[in-house]
Amino acid sequence: MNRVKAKEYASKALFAAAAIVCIVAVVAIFVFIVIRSIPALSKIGFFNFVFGDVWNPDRYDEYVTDPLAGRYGILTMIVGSIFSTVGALIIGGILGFFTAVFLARFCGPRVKRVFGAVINLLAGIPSVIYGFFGMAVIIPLFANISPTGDGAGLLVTSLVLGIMILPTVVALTKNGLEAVPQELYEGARALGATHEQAVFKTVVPAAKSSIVAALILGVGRAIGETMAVIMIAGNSPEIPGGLFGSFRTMTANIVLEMGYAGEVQMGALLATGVILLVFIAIINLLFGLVISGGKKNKGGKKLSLGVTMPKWLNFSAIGKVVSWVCAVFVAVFLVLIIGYIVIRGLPHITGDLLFKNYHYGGEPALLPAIVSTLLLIVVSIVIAVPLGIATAIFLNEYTKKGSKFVRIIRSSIDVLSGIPSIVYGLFGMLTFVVWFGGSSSILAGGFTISIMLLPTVIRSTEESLKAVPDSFREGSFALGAGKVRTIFKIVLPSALPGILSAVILAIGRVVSETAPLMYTMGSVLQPMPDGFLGSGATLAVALYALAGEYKYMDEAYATACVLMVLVLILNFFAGFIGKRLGKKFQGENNAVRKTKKQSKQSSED
Amino acid sequence: MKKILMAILSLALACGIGVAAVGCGGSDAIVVCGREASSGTREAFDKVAANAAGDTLDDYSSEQNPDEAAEAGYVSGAQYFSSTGTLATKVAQTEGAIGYISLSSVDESVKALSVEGVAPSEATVLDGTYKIQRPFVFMWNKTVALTPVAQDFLNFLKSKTAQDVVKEEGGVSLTEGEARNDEGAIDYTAPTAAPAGDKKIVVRGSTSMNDLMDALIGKYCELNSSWVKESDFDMSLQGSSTGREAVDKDTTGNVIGMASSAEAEDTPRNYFNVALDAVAVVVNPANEISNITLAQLYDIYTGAITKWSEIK
Repeated sequence: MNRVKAKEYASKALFAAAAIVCIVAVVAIFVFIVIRSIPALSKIGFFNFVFGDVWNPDRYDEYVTDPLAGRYGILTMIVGSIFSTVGALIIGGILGFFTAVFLARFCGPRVKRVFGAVINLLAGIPSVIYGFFGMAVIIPLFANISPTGDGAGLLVTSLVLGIMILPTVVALTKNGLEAVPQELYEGARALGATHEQAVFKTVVPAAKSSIVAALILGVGRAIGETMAVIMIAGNSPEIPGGLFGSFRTMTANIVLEMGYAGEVQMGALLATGVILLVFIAIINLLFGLVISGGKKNKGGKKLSLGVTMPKWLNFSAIGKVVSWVCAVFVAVFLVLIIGYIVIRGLPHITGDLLFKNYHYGGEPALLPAIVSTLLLIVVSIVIAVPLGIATAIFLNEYTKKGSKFVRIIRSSIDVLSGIPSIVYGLFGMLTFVVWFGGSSSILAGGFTISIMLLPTVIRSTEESLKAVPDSFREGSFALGAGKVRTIFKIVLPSALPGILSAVILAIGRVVSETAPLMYTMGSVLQPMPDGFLGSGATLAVALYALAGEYKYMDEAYATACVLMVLVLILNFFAGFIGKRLGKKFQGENNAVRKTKKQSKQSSED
Repeated sequence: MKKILMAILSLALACGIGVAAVGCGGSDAIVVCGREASSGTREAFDKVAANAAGDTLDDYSSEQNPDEAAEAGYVSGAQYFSSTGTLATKVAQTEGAIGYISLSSVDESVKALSVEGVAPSEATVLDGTYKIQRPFVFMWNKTVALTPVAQDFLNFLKSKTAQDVVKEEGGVSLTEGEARNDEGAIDYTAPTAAPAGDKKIVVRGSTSMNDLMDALIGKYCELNSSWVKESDFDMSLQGSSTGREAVDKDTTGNVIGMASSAEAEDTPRNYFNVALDAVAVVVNPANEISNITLAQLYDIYTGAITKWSEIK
């Protein structure tokens, strides 16, 4: 008996330890960035930093320098980030909302499945590719209507960011719309509303909170994007002068200067990270408010609106048309971007490029990059997945529901999942790279990416754990199983499909991430990495490096093609595993239900 | 049937929006493109482009105009790119664009201009008539002694063998002492046994020198195949400034920095110039202009000239 008890305690301690490690790691980033930026902020002056409109840093400024030679005001970049994010929200929000409505209510199941999968593919395309697509296809299009003779700037950045947040907006909005009870829709139809009226006046208002939540999450994505933005925004630190003005965002500022920044300048970049954190925290706060607000006034008065106002009939009809147009627009855009990459890249994929080792001075080859990518995946998954799952188990299975402590942890994890990847890169460069011998290595990159993945893994594992009905646990306890046994034999297997697809999506993120790896793992094409302490470029970084000197553009596009196929395969796997395992467990549930029904029938007989 | 009609209608509308965007005509405006502040290419360009009074873009950005200066001083609205590749893509796609990239990166998708009537080429760089040129520099720390392996690699970089590689890579070879800031190219003989100590060599700095360094390391590994592994080299490139930074912070004596612009006279680092490179001023192939003066470049990048029609 005692042995069992000891085992229980040991496991609880283990889970708690994992949770503590995660939380410490997560808090460490926050504290580290804030503390490292304080000297710079006090030297520059908080007011001058946030409201100063001249950014002209001097690399040789140190904290003892007086007065500072450079000027460190980031107002222009704050404005730039806000403008481009709002633009992205307008474009991505409208397109995303109507596309989701289209997918949820105006198309057949086959279109829905294929279209949905393709939109998920959009989420996995590395942002570097969006950047090149923006430069090569969209900007020349806009150049014709631009008064400056060039299409770069606010408008194209908003458009590209809008497309980049589209998968998030569509997925969440669609889930929200589908979660609306069918009875509401049927009730509206029964009262004489047309299909369009029922959708726009009943279903959409009922899903309001998840739609707003989708938009807020999209905003978080847009504000944190880096690599695509630095190719199309123009990057001059000034307030954007109109739709085609060159401007710089906060994330772009960090990635452009972190490599060579002097003391005060580095402090100022970290402080830029802090301001970004503040923005993300505000966005998450809004997110939380919307979610909890939405729960409170679910159902009720809004529902009558649609059917009682027949004069709005036209609006609903227009809504349907807009949904179609948006969906087609998104489809056209998708075809364009995928077609562009395939046309530029596919002819240049050769066996030599893919499977030959690269040697210094030789022709570019991707095998080392592929190996580096795999090693990075191994490191980051080995660290992030067990820790994340254990933390989620601790939070979900061992703590009291609704405890304040857990709520705080949860919201801090949410904040972390919104931190721009470049801030993780900055953190990794100043900590892990230093710890692992001062130069970039796969291990340093892996640790950086792991911390970045943790929040996502924790949250999605928690979601899957929550979805496991309590009756499963109770049944197991009733049969005399202990908590650990219940968790490992009952809860985890039932939650497995969700966890697995979360892991696969995490791998997708590792594969397509660029900015945080350039300064932690390696930035140029290199020969085979020498173990985990060697440096290497991942495929996404190799893509950027190949395009870097304009000498290997064909190979760069070929790499983009390879990456896209990889993301496609990963997405397919995620869907497949989710479905396959889901079916298995659902099958069991159905079986249970069926026997109940049968017994009911037989008793009725 | 209704659905198909709907699909066709929306497709037409979506396309219509696209066509409307293409409808209007082009313009004569100059789209000013430059590199980010850590770039050696930019430094080299800024130091040469000067007006009649002799003020360079470098002076303009750092001293003359600190208040109005956006990032170190180009005209408001100028665009900055973090690599040669993105800048060249931009120029290749934009009719009114002007930018600058290493001559070795120029291909048929962009047009290199003559500067002051001189087209960039190996010959015009060597005789100095093409003005916008810069050295490729190797640097190492002045206060810390290099490790035996790093010293041997440096001897190789200084050698005539290295100059052969420079020529193979299309660079302008430098063998004379004065232009190199050392005693001139030396003979390199590979050591018969591995030098003592740690074998790691850290390479940081200019992305413009990526190809050259790759080839040099390849040759070095070939010559010393008995004891050198490619993985002994730790190479990460993010611009000339990062190279200088890494050399300054070097405490082990194994950092070789690369910069693609000249070192200052009072530099705190040891250095020598391994090759010369022309910075080509590039425009879109559709642009009719073929020659430009340094003063015009200065005016374009400071905003005194904003239209192509002003350059004749």
